[in-house]
Amino acid sequence: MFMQWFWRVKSSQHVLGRRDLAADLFNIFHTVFFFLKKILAPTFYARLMNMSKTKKIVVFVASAATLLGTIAPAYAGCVWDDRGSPHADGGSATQLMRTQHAHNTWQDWFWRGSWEGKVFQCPWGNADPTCPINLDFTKGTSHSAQIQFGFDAGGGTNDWFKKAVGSLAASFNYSKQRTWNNSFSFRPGGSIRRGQKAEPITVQDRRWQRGYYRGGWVQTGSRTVTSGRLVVGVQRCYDFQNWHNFGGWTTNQAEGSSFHTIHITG
Amino acid sequence: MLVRFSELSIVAVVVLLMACSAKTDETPSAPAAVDVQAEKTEKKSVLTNEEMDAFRRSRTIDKVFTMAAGSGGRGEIMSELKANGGLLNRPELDIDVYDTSSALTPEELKTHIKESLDRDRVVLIDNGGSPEDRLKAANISMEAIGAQVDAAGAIIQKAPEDKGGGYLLTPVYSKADVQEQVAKGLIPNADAQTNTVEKMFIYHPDPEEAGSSQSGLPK
Repeated sequence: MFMQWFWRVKSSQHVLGRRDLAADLFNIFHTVFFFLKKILAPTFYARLMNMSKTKKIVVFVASAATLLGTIAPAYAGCVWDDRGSPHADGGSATQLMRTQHAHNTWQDWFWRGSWEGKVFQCPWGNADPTCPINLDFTKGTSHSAQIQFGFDAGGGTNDWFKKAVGSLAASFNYSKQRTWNNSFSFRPGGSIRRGQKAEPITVQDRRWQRGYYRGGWVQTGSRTVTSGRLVVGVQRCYDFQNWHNFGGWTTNQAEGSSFHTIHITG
Repeated sequence: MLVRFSELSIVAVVVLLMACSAKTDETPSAPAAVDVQAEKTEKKSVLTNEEMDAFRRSRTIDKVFTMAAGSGGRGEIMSELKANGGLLNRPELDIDVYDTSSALTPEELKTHIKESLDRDRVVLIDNGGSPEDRLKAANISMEAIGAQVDAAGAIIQKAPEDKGGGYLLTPVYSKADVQEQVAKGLIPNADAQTNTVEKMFIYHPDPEEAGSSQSGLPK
C-alpha cells in the first residue's frame, strides 16, 4: 500500500496539489507507522514507543522533513511535449492584475433599432408640429465578455487536481468568459419634431484597461523516462507558481450598467 | 499512545501547511491614494490603479454636476442622486444641469444648452416632479434638440459624427417613475428598468474585484 502510494506521488503523471497534500500526509504517516509496527521493524517500533516525548518529537520532525523533501518535487506535473512557459491556469488560480485605466470612457452601441427596422420618423408632412414617439417594445440582449491570450493553458474546473491536469493539456486556450442578459424597455412617451428620426439604441460605457497575469504554470525542468535500459523519452515538468507575473492583456471594461437611449437625427 | 502522538503530529503538519498555503494566497491591497494625485491625473490619458482610484474619489457629485443658468439642483434626479451619494460611474464627465427652477424660458435656455453641448459637456434636464414641471422640462428639451421623453430626467449628449451625428436623448427614471411602470405592468419589476438614477450614475465595483482594484474579470 505504501509503495503504491509512493509510486503514485513520484509518478510523472500525477499532479499533487497543496490541498491533496494534507490528506496524503495523513495517509503516509498512518502507513509508515503501520509498516513499522507490523512488518518492517517491530523492534524499532517498540523502541520508539519507549522514547521520551522529546525524542519522539525529534524523530517525527526528522521523518516529516524527509517525507516533505520527497513529496516537494511532486507539485509539478510532467508532460511529453513542450507547452511553453509560463502559462495561465484555466481555472481560477491565475489572477488578472490591472495596472492601467483610460481616463475617458467611450460609448459602445451594441444594438441599434435600425438593424430590425425600428426607426421612428415624424413625417415632414405631419399636420402637427410634433409626433409622439411610439416605441413600445422590450429588447433582450445577451452580453458576453472574454479575455484570452496566446499560449496553451486552461482546464476550466475548480477541482485543483483536475484543473492542474487540464491546464497541462495541449488543447486548451486560456480564456475567461462571462455572459449576462439585459432587457431594455422602450415605452411610448415623448415626442419628436416634424422631420426628425428617433432610433432606439442600447449603449454600454466602456473603459480601456491593461494588466498582466499573476500565478502561472512554469516549466521547472525535465525528466528522462526509461523502461528498463530503454529511454522512452523526455518529459517537461511544470510547477504552479502563485507569484509569477507574466503576459499582458487589454480589455474594454464595462463601466456601469448598459442603458437604453434614443438617437435623434434631423 | 502512538495513535495520539501520530495524530497530534499530523495535525501539527497540516496546520503548518495550511498556514503556508494561506500565506501564498494573500493579495496585496492597493495602496491608499492621495488626493493631490487626482489633480495631476486630470490631464493624463492613462491612469494607474492608484491614480484612477484617486480620480474617481475626487470627482464628487458636486464637481461633476454643475448647476447651469440659474438651476437650483433640486429636481427629482439631482435630489435622488444626492440622497444616494457614492462614487460616480464616469467621473471624467462634466454634466450641466438645467432644471425647471431656472427663471429662464425654454427658448432662452436653448442657447445655454447648445453652448454646453458644443463644449462637449453632457446636459441633464431635471424636473421638479409636478405635472407643470414635467411640461416645462419637456419644452426645454424640445426647444433644445427637437425631441423630449417622458421621464423625471433626460440626458442629452451629442452623438458621434461617425454614427450619424445628432443627439442621444436618454431617459432617466426616478424611483417614482419606476414604481409607476411596475404598477402599470410596463416592466415586471423595478430591477428590470435599466435607466434608473442608481444604475446610470452610481459606481458599483465589479464583484470579482472586491478587496482589490487590481484583479477581476472584465465584462
